Amino acid sequence: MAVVITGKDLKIEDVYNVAVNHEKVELHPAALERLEVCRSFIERKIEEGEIMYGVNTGIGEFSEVVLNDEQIKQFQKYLIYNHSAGIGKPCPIEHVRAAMLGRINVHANGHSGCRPIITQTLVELLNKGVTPVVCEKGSVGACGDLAPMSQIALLMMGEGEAFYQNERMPGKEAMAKAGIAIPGLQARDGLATINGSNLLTAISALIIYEAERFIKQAEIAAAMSLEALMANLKPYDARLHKLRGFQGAVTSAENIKKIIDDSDLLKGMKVKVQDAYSMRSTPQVLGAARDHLRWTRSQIEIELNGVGDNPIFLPEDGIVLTGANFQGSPVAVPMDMLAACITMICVISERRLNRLLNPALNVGLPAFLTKGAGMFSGHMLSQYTADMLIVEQRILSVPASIQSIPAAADQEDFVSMGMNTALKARQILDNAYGILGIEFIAAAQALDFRDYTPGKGTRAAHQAVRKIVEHLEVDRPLFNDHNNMMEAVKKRVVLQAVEAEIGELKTY
Amino acid sequence: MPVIITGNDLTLNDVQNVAYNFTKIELHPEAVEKIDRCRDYVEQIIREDRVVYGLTTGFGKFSTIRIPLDELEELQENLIVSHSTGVGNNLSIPETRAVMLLRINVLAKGHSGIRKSTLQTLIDMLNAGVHPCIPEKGSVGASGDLAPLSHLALVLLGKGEAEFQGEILPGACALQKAGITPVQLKAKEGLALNNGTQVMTAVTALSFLRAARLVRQADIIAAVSVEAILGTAAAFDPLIHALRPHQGQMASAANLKALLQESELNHSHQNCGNVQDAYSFRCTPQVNGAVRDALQYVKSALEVEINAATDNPLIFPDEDKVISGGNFHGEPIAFAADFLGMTVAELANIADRRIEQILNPALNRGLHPFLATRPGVDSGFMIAQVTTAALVSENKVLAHPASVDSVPTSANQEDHVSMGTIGAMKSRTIVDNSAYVLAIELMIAIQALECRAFPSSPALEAVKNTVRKQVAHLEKDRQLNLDINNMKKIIDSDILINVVSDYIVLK
Repeated sequence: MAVVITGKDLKIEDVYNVAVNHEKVELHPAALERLEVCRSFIERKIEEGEIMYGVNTGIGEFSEVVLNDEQIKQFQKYLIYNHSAGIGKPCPIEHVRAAMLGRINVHANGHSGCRPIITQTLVELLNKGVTPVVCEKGSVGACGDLAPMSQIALLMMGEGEAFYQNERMPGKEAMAKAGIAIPGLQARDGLATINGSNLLTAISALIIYEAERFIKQAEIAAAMSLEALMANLKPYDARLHKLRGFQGAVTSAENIKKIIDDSDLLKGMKVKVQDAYSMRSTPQVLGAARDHLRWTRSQIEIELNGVGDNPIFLPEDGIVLTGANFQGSPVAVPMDMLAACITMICVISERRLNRLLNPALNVGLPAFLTKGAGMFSGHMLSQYTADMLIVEQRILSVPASIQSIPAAADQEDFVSMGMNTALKARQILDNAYGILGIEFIAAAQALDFRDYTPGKGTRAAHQAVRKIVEHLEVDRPLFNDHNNMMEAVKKRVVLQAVEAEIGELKTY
Repeated sequence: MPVIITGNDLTLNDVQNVAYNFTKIELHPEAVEKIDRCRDYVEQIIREDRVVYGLTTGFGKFSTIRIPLDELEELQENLIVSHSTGVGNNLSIPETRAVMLLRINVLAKGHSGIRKSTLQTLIDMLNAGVHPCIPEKGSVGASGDLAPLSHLALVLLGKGEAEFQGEILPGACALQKAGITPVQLKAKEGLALNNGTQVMTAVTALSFLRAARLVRQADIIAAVSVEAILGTAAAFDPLIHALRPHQGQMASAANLKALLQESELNHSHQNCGNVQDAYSFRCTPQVNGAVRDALQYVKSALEVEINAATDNPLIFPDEDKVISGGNFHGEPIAFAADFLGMTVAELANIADRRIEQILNPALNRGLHPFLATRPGVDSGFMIAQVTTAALVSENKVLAHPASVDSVPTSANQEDHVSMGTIGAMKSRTIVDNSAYVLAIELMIAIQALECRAFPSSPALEAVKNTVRKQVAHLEKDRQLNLDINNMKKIIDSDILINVVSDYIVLK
């Protein structure tokens, strides 16, 4: 089923489905009408000679320079040329697709003033699988993602480069092969394509989709470690968390409880009165991340459905307003913290890993989870791997949103740096998959040594891990296991297996 | 004996003596001569009505505005008054004294154009103990520490506030009580007083002096911990360190080896089968040594800076030139300050790990958990390690470099600044936190040592006796912060170094 674009109803899930699963999109008729109304409004204003920023003036510091009729036509082309700066490898296809989707949804609000054909061409690019080549680095996150979005706009003039059917080719050739007409850029069209923080928001939206599922996987890994460490399971009683009142922690406790249901540990086995914090406070820690994630989702869905553009045309009121709705801070601020939250989840995961490996702490398991101590070192080096990744995450967890550098002759003297936020959050999450994978491997290995029966969800998770990584009987090169498990966590293999067995875990 | 100020020969030891011990200072006759020659040249420039930055022009972005001769004195006073911004707590008395000393030394070089009488008034203030109140926040470290140094100059003018004999007084009142006449600034003198890096340099210098003591104490304290944990001295064998000949590492290893010599306790477990201790013990020479080497770099940067002219413009009477440049830019000290903080944070970091090894019953080779006499009823040193964890975590946050930041100021004329003063302030906090961590390590290690059946080496037994004069064995739980504060007093003194120096040569 196609995602219908109204300008108001775009969800994180829609972004994921269009970006990753190549779901089709279509403009709602009412949205198309709004586009047309807004365009005729702006064309009338041009004829009347009203001075409008970026339509018949230069941009940024040059906004006081007024353009003549001939210059208005040429201006959009040069605008896109001179803003097509940027450096680095191409953005992943899903990031660019998500950014185009976000831009289409901005236009659908009917306040951007480009010709409807521009929006429709963006829709066609998505539906026919033509993805502009966009350099990953070069946006300061205000005015939006000017540089990367300009590389998308190049295609509107039959220029630039694109990926089409797994090949990188000139933009013009990709458009021809896909059967998309080149609309060209007329007054306002260029600026309306580029002036918003759509790429950083797109990357952030995809991270949220993954992070919601990552937290659930962190709960599964935690449950496995808890059971392997013969944990006292009282701290996961939801009543405890309701008394404190954080919804995230309540959900986390309920999820863990559901995973460990039917465990022998719940049937009167002797356990410690209180376990270490990395075990006992799992719901509080994961819950705090979840509460922050919920807020981040709501902020980003506001941005996805808002008019992040400048200037903004209000045909119903007959006016043009200049402002700064492109400023990426509303996305950058929660995303900086979300990235730190993911790091925090990894920090506590690594401490449980330590407890699984350390013979002084692991309640009778063999040191480093190997029975051949001395000759074999077991998972000693798995921890090193996790630790290195965590340090990288910690370095990346320094916020980007406080790092503004003035640009454009001090006209753009505070910028959000939200693109840095998005890119480093992506790196942090990628590392997180590796770290959680190592906890999965170690917890499964530990459970192999136990003769009691863990909970139903834990059993399903254990089996799922065993399909990816074998028990470590005799030392072997570990990197294959680490990499395979990281991929599996990224693909949510264990989560699917567990949910198939015990039903869906709660997201919030 | 007074410290003689030449502008070129100030040592960190002098800084220590003047800042903490109130040693008096006096100008060398040759310095007086240079100062007078430079001032004569300044007055010649003014007589000739030449356009020279800061003498006959405005400042910073206003450097293109020509100031008439009859307003030159007002210009200097306005400079000091308008630049006296700054917020927060005042610098400590030793820090303030160090700032004054360093500024006096710059002026004594004879390239700043101050009058001898003005400089003498500043010297009189230092010798009499009139200490201007200098707020510690508000400098971006270029052009130097303008705002805080302006507060220094304010008191010279009989304005601002100053500490005198334990009281905070209006500047004029403090001068009067000390029998000093305030100064009316003449051309160039304001700029000569407030343009330089002396605040960040003074604070970093005092932190360095503390850090240099800490790193030597860290060897002594680590040695006690090695003994407490029944560790092996094998890792400190010079053969190992000669193969990786970093100076600091070799010195630290030699210290550890010497400190552990003739220990009955060490001898008693020679054949116990333990061949390798955890990194936090075994790698002490590598870590403490790397800190020593890093501090050497910091020292070399400071020794240059405390004898350097960090003014702008600089006046060269012999060459008949006044040259504008950027010697006030604090980057050399900003790096040193950041580096100082990072390295000292590592001393504390590894100390915290040794504390964990001594307190954790899974790791401490037979000692009670948390060294509690009656585990359960007593919690022993459980929460002392929580304290060190909090301190080392704060250190990690503070270890983020200040020098990589810059915010353009002054209408973009001053568009890259050093932030060295921020580096100096946060490194000072790191040094202080780290001193607490080492104090706690020593407190715990001594307690653990007492739980062992054999005496340690003569040097370390002497350390134990010294500590026990200040802080008693923890027989049953008591309020530990009092003990920690007493331990910190030991660390803030030279007593540990003096005690072991009776037995071994500490490098």
